[in-house]
Amino acid sequence: MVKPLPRNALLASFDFEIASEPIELRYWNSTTPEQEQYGPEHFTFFSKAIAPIIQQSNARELHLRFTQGWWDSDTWGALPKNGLKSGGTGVEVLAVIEAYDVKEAQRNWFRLSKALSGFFCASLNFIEPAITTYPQYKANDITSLHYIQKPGNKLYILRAALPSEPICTENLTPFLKLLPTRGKAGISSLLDGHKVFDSLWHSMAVDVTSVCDDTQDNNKCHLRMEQSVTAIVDVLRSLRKHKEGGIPRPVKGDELRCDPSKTHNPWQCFPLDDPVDLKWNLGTIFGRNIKGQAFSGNIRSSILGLKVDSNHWKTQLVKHKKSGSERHDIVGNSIAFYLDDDIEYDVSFETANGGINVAPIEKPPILLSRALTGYSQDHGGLRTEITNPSNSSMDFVYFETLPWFMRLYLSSMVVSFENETSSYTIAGIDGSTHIKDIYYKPAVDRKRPAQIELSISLPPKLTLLFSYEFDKSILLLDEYPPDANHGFAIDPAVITIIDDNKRGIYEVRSTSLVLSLPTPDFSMPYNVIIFTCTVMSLAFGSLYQLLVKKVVTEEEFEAASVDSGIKGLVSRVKSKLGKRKRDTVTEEPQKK
Amino acid sequence: MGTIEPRAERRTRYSLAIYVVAVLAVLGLPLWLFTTSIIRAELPIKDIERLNEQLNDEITFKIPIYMDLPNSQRVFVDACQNLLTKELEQRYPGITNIWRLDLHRILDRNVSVVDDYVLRIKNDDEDAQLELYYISPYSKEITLTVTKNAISTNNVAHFVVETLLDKVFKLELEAFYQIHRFGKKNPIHENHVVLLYSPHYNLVFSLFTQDGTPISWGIESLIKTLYPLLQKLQHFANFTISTQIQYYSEPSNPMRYDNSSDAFVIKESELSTFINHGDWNLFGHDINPTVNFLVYFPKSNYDNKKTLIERSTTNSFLINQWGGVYVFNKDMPIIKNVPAKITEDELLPIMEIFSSQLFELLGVPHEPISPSIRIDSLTRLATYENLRQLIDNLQSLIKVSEALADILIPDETQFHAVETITNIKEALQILQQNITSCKQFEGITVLSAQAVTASNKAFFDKEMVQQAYFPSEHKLAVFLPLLGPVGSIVTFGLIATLKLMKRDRDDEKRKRAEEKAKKSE
Repeated sequence: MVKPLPRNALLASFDFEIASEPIELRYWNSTTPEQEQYGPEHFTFFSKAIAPIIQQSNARELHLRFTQGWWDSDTWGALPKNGLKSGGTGVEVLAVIEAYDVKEAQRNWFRLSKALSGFFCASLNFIEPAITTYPQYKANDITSLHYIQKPGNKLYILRAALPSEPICTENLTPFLKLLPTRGKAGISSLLDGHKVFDSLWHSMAVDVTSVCDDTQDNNKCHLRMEQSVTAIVDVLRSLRKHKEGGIPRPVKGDELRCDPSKTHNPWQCFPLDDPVDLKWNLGTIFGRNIKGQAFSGNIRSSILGLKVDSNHWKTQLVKHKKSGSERHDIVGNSIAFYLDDDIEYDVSFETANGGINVAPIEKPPILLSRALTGYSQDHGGLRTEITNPSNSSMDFVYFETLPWFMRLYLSSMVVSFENETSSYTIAGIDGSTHIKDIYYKPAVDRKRPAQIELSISLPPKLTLLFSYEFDKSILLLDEYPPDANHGFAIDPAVITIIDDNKRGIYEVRSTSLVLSLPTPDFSMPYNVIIFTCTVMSLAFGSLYQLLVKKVVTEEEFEAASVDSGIKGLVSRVKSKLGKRKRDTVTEEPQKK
Repeated sequence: MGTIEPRAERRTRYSLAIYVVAVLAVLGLPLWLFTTSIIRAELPIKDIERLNEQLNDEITFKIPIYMDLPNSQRVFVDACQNLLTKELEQRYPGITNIWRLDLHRILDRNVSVVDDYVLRIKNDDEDAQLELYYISPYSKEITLTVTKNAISTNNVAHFVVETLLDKVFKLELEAFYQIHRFGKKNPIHENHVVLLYSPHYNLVFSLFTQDGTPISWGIESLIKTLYPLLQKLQHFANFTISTQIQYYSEPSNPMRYDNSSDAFVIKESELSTFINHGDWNLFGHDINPTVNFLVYFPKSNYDNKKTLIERSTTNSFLINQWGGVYVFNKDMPIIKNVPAKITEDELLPIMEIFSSQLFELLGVPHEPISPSIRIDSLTRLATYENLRQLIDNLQSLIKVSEALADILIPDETQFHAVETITNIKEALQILQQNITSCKQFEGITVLSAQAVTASNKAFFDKEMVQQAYFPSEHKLAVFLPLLGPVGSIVTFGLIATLKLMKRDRDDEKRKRAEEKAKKSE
């Protein structure tokens, strides 16, 4: 789906749905994996590579998000697909795992994350107990009855986020390999890591769910995979790169766009905003054309959707046939059509004032921002602001995980509200009528993070502000990352708007935060050891000499030193000099 | 001279100096060494050496062979046995220490031809000129047809021995001989086709098509034809089967059209680069090795053109330690707009090619004809090799631990090493027993397979590899400010004290001598 946005941005979202052949959901016992024999498994469109990873960790659902950038909700509106397919900055993993207890679930979880880390070339292997949470609010989203295969087992929802993970082309390659076309045909042929990730914001999602037929009693299920890549492309930048290459160059004098209402001459120019009259096509933005339908002979395998304001945009579908290119006008504001031939496709866009006039933009149902407060090395605070801009009351869950090295004081929580005219404060959390429920799991050092889930009902046109304070703790030496002075990334907070059945219908995430902790000088341990050693040997030396050496008076010492070695020589010289002096001294009184 | 120090006081000073040295040496030094030492679990070195001896000298693969003879010809068994032993020793000196054939007469009728070697001798009633042997392709039954001429000249025993050594066990014997006598690799493994042994393999049957036209294949029902074969290999290894279809798979080199044969031709020199590893999704993400069987469906099928592999009768080829590839050509033209299908009839011969490729990849000897006997040979060879490999592994573990003084040996390594040894010991015990059925060898294979897993765990422990290069100079450098001054103070103090003590003793002696001299005066 392609949709131009204001300020020459382009929303491009690629969605893929793949279902596996019927597959037997089974409970994989990790301690005795060899003893059970299973029938053969068949894969046609679903990737054979990822299925064993999911099966062997007893994961019934797996949700992966790779996101980078900041979503500008003022300009771009609500998140695409209600935010359910976009993550927070970095990587996010959520899995539903069948296990008989928490320990077993964790074991499977870590095995899953290690396998995925290899698969997606991401540092998911850094997922450890200290960042793993068990979100409660997600429990309502699981409805399938077939997830539990072994009676007595339970389902566990585990989640972890790595906010400092950079997302780049090496994550896209395995993503493409999961597709049955492997990016060779259909809309996936547009996905080129260099172009897609050279964007203002991009998010990559992989969701695997087990879909079982509830009417039948046998446990034949399908694994269903939904993959999506969503990106906000800066059209001007893409065009410039296409024309001039990767290195930005100064604009030539005759190409400068100056404000005609102000002075402009060869020496003076007040530059105008970005141009709004543009002509481009998908091929130049993504670097290649769409290579036909995904599977020839299957005319419904690829759909291309467009959302434009047809009053201001002229769009054309270009078919690159062997006999030559054909252009077909596309009429309508929101249209979707099948790509049903084995030829190359392209879409051209032309507008006179496309900077402002685009297809209607959906307003975001909720706004969230979160910031760190305070400046000292030993404590700080968090301030969160949630606004309900709509005209109706909104029920949602605010979910936040904080690492254990942020020692949170929930008692310091201050809640206040702000509407368009005034603001009022409620001290403490109990006084609040809008925070319905609070779930708080305090952190345990190095074992688990703090987890906060607030169930909030926010009246229309109201802003909720709350803040709490925390202490920063000093880590053990080997817990600091290599670039410790850079700071620690804190997971984005998540807001999930829920419907009457408590199911999530819209998700939005705050930005991640960078927390700077007191960082020691890393040569310190060596210095301490060496310094302590020196002091100890100093003390020991003097004590030892005291004990072992003979104690003598000064006279004795002088007497003993007369006839020994260099000291004897020195004393002899001294005594000679002394004698002469004494002689002169003794002579003087004689003169008197 | 000043005031004279009392003798007791001087003694205290001397003893103090010595006490300090003693405390440092007895308490301080061990404490320092202990707190800064690397954890090294003790490995069962003696056990491993003992096992090595045992494996070389004390174990024998005794293969029972049952002869179907009437009671009256009891003596014939012994005659055959004698001749057999003699012949074996002559052809392969020293082999009888590890490998033997034990001939028995069938006493009860319970001996199954599926599990055990049964030798039947048939007297030919007609006057045939030649002796014949027949090895059943379904079991381990060997039938010999003997002419009257042979019986009269007492050549039957010779014939029995020759059949056994030349026709049934030839390859196995040769392999055993090479390994045992010269410590060489199994000659079957010499061309590097055979996969590394693992107790668990994944079999992946893939259909790769060159373009994106949907296709189906009847693999689901055909997989079942493999089951009897895998059942026979059950004790050797477990197999997990999966199948997949992948589209848009271009080979690394484009196929060239050859006008003379009116077909696309894949050159022999291009076979090694046929698989496009970078693009095709072949990586398994599994610890267990994967055996790949790949049916390649070229685009040319839609144009009713053939794609041939140069100089291949089966249109297939084998990739060392990886799997087999078959290039599929549809015999009938494909009707347009109807999804193509590879039918079960078309797949059956391909599965046969794949199963023989699987045998080659697992290292099954290619003779004699009966798969049962070949798998049996593989079982024994693999067991023997595994046991040798295990001892090698353990010995190199000891070597590593001895050569690298700074290497960490965690308790897990020790635990797995002991586990390995227990498994080997059990296997050896079975071998030393009286073996009455070849089924018993299968138990040993399972044990050795478990031991392989354990020994790998022992050798490749994460912590051990991680800490391998922690420098010991580092430790010394950090503690030098403590050790240097304290050490030097104490040493020089000790030397000075010893000197003084010696001088005192000399003084005393002199005094005593003087006193004596005075007294005698």
